[in-house]
Order: sequence, then C-alpha cells, then structure tokens
Amino acid sequence: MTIILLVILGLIVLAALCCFALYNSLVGLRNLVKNAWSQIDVQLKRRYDLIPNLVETAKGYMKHENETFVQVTEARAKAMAANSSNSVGEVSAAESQLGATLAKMLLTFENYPELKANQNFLALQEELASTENRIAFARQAYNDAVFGYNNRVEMFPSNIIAGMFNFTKADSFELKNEEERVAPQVKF
Amino acid sequence: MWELIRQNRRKSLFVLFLMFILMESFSILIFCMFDSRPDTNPAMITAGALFGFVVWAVQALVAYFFGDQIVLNFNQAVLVNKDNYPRLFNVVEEMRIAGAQPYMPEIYLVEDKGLNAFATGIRQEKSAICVTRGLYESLNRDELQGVIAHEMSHILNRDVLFMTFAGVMLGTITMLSNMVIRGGFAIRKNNSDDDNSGTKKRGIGVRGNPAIILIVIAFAILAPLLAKLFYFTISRKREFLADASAARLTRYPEGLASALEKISSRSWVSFSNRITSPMFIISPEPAGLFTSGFFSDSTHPPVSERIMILRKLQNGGSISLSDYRKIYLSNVKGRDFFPDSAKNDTGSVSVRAASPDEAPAVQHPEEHIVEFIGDSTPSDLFKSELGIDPEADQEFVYTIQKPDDWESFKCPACGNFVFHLAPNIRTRQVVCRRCKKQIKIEYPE
Repeated sequence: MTIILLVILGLIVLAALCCFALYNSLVGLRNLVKNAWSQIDVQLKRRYDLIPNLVETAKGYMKHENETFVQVTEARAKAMAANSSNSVGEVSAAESQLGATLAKMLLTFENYPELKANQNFLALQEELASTENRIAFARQAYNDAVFGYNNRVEMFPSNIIAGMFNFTKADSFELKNEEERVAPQVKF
Repeated sequence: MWELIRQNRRKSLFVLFLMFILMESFSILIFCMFDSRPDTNPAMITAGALFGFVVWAVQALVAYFFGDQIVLNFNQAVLVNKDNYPRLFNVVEEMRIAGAQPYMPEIYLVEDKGLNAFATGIRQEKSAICVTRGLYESLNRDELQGVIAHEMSHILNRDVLFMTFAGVMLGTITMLSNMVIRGGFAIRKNNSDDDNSGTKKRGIGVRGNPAIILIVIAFAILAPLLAKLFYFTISRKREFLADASAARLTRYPEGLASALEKISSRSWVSFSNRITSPMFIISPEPAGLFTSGFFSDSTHPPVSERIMILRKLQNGGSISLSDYRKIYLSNVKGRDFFPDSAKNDTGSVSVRAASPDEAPAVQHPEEHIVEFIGDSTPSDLFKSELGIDPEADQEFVYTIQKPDDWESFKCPACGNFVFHLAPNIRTRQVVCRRCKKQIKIEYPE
C-alpha cells in the first residue's frame, strides 16, 4: 500500500518538476524576446539622434532640397511618437516610413560631390550606414527570438503551461514593403 | 538558436574526453614502467593519473587566465575603437547585435601584410577579435562582415574554450611522448655506462614488466598522432559550423565566400601558434599532406570546399543551418556532425541583397596577384624561356624569419608552401617546391 502511495507521490513530484522546467524555459525565452526588442530600441534611438546631425551638415551644401529634409524630419518625429507607444505593429510601420524617406535623402546626396568630400559628413554617413545595418540585424535577432518563443507557446506540452500562465504570442517585426528589406543605398 | 548551439556540445565533449583518456592512460603507463608490480600497485597508478592531470591542468589554467593576453604581445597590435577605425568597429558591433551576444569583444588590428583574422577569449566576456591590416585593407564591407561573423561564431559557439583545452591536451601528450623517447635514450646510455664499469647499480631504473615497456613505446609513437587526429577532427567540424553560423548571421554567404577566396593565397602571418591556429579564419600554417578526410592533418577544411558550400547556399536562397547541413552532406564526403539545433533550424531564412559599398577600405594599387599558371614542372631549358632564373630563388626565403617589409604568399595550387617576396620584386614566375607547379606573382599594370 505504502509503495503505491510512494509511486503516486513520486509521479506527482516528477510532473511538478516538469512543469517548473517548462515554465522557466518559457520565462527565459520571453526574456530573450524582451531583450532583443530593447536592442532594436537602442538602435532606433541611435538613428533618431543621428538624423538631425546629418541634416544640419547636409543643409549647408544642399540649398534646394528643403522638401526632402522636411519629410525626413517629420518622419523622424512620427517614428519617435510611435516608439513611445510600444506596440510592435505601430513602431514597425513608422520605422518603415522613416527608412524610406532616409533612403530617398541618401539618394539625393549623390548629386552633391562637395558634400561627399566633407570628412565630417563621411563620418556621419558611415554611422548612418552602420545604424541601418544594426537595425536590420537587431530586427533579425528579435525575429529569431520571437520564432523560438512562439514555437514554445504553441507546441505541446509547453502550450499547456503557456495557457495557464498567460504567455501570449509575440509579434515579429516586419517591414511593410518588400523593397525596404534592402538597406538604403549608401555609396562611399 | 545560438543558445542551443552553445548547449549542444556533446559530440565535441566526447572527443575531448577520448583525448583525456588517452593522455591519462599514457601517463599512468609511464609511471607503471618504473614499478615491478604495476598491476598490483595502486600508488603508481594514482601517481601517474595525477601527474598527467596536473601537467594538463596547470597549462590549461595558464591558458584560461592569461590566454587573453597573447594578443597584446603581438607586434604592434592596435586596440580598435569607434574613432580610429569606425568601419571595422561598426562591422563587429553589427555582428554582435546579430548574434544577440551581450559582450562586445575587443578588436585588435595587427600590423601584418598577411590576410587573416582570429578570435581569442576563453571567457566570453573577455573575448577579442584580431584582424590583420592586410585583411582590413583588402576586403569590402560584405567580405569583412563575413569574416567577422565567422570569428563571432567561434566566440558564440565557445570554440575558443574547446580548442584551447584540446590544444593544451595535445601539447601534454606530445610532451609525455618526448619524455619517453628522450628518457629512453638516456636510460640506454646509462645502462651501457654501467656495463663498462662492471658494476650493477641502477638509480631509478626501469623495473617494470617488459610488456608494459613495449606498450609505453608504442604509445610514445602513436599517442601524439592519434591526439592530433582527434584535435584536427574537432577543429575542422567547428570551422564548418562557424561558416554555417556566419552565413546565417550575415544572411549573405557570398561575402564570406569571396573573402575566403581573397584570403586563401595570402593567409600566412608571422604570429600564429598551435593554440591559436584553429581560431584563424583560414589556417595560417601551410596545409598538411592530406587536406580532408579522417587522416587529415589540417586544422581547417580545404578552402575550396568551404567556398563551394557557401556559394551553393547563396544560390539556393535559403540559408538556415539545416540548409547548410544538406549542402554539406550532399557535396562533401564527411560525417554528419551537425548538432540537433542545426538540424532543427529549418525556418526559411532568406539571403539579403549585397551591400552597395563595394570598395575595400584602402585601395592598394601595388598589390601582388598570385596565380597558378601551369601543371607540370618546366624543364631547365624551358625555365630560362619563362624567365625563371634558378639563382633568383634566393629572393624567396623559406624560413619562418622574414624581414618585416617582405610579403608572404601561399602557393595557390597546393596551399602547402609559403613564398616570401622581397618588396622590390615586381613580377616573378616560380615553381612551388612542394607541388612543383608553376606560379606567377605579378603586379597588375
């Protein structure tokens, strides 16, 4: 009799341990997603800081491109507003917009050879090129993390724990237009 | 995904364990050799086991705590930051972000004309990536990114840790073997001295079972070879895995492929050693007798194979680790060593477009082109027609020592032989001393 009781007790303990392990791995994966998101955020902020500098430097050389600068500045303001909302969908929409206008601005730089001779401008351009890459790679790492986490949330048996403790699927960071997958054309 | 790869080290651990057993049994046998009742004396067995372990552990600890500093001892290594080499710094930071690695490795630029790069840092938080000036100056951004991603993967996959411990074990086994072989001669010499004087005094003589002595001698000859095979096997696997991870990190296998192509003929650098050589992107040592297969004595797989896989990956469009594995298995005669995490990495990961920045960091108009031009050894008569002067061979030194401003090239045909070229020579046709094929080295006009 006691043996049966002990076996049952053992099974219960084993099941509880499995639950703990599943729960902990879900928490770990969710933290990875959160951390990856904050990495994107760092890079987006870096881009916001860089844009005014770039616009200021370029303005001196490009008197007739005021419209482009206005567009970029507006897109930046919108993206910053969306960023504080913290919804993945809104942020990715606003950032796609900003990326497109930036790409347009970078294209117009091509027509100003004096600008491209400016050392300060070249340094800023390298920073912007790298920032675009960083955002792309941070997005890539984030989407990888989301993929791993969502798999766990949906798959058996971790989906039971996920349901019990309210682990919801995370949104991946998608760009709106196909062509924006290509980084802006920055020529050196 | 990266977390999974890091955790999935069982197979490498197993080979490491085999090496460890080899080292320990060798050490135990050596101690048993000095005892008349080896099979019944646990003290000697324990002493032997302890001896091997302590020798290994001391070296491993030194490597663990001071290995990071090897880099600093290199000739003129510059610490790279945002201000002195922004492009290099940015590329490393981008790869750190792509790999979701919390620690930014230190970056060093080494003054060397050879094209190579390597990673150090047994502890991830103290890792470093080292790039030669030759490499930095001749690669464009995509190529540099591929190289850095490969090195970052070595750090992410904890390869430095593995290869350092394995390298130290290989060193210990080699040391034990040297001890036996040299010690053996010494004992023989002592014994013959005794015979001459007619007395029969023996100090710490070999009193053990003759069978054990034979086994020890066999070990002394075979153990280093076996250990090397183990070591090279782990190292080559990890190169393939680092390539696969680099392709996935950058989403652009062609960058690494074209970098490997550029590096392959000029990868010779003056500062590699046994411990660091598996961490280079392409082995700085000349290739051995067999370049692939189980008996290969090279730390790296053949470059041509690596490039071929990467190119197929690029053309296939999808570059997840499982795609790399499929291409590897169908094109290379090799065992399936990929960890489960790589097999399960099946999501569609698509190739990105090339970055528009095509130019290398610095244009070198005076860079040599090394190419393989002919199969057969030209006869002496033919040699003079080609302008190969047998006396001119003096301009190529074959030692490790070379003046700083001389350039070094590997034979593009066999990868086996390193030429060193004086700076004033513009064009030269030479014959590789190993593979006897004709090589042309010239400045582009």
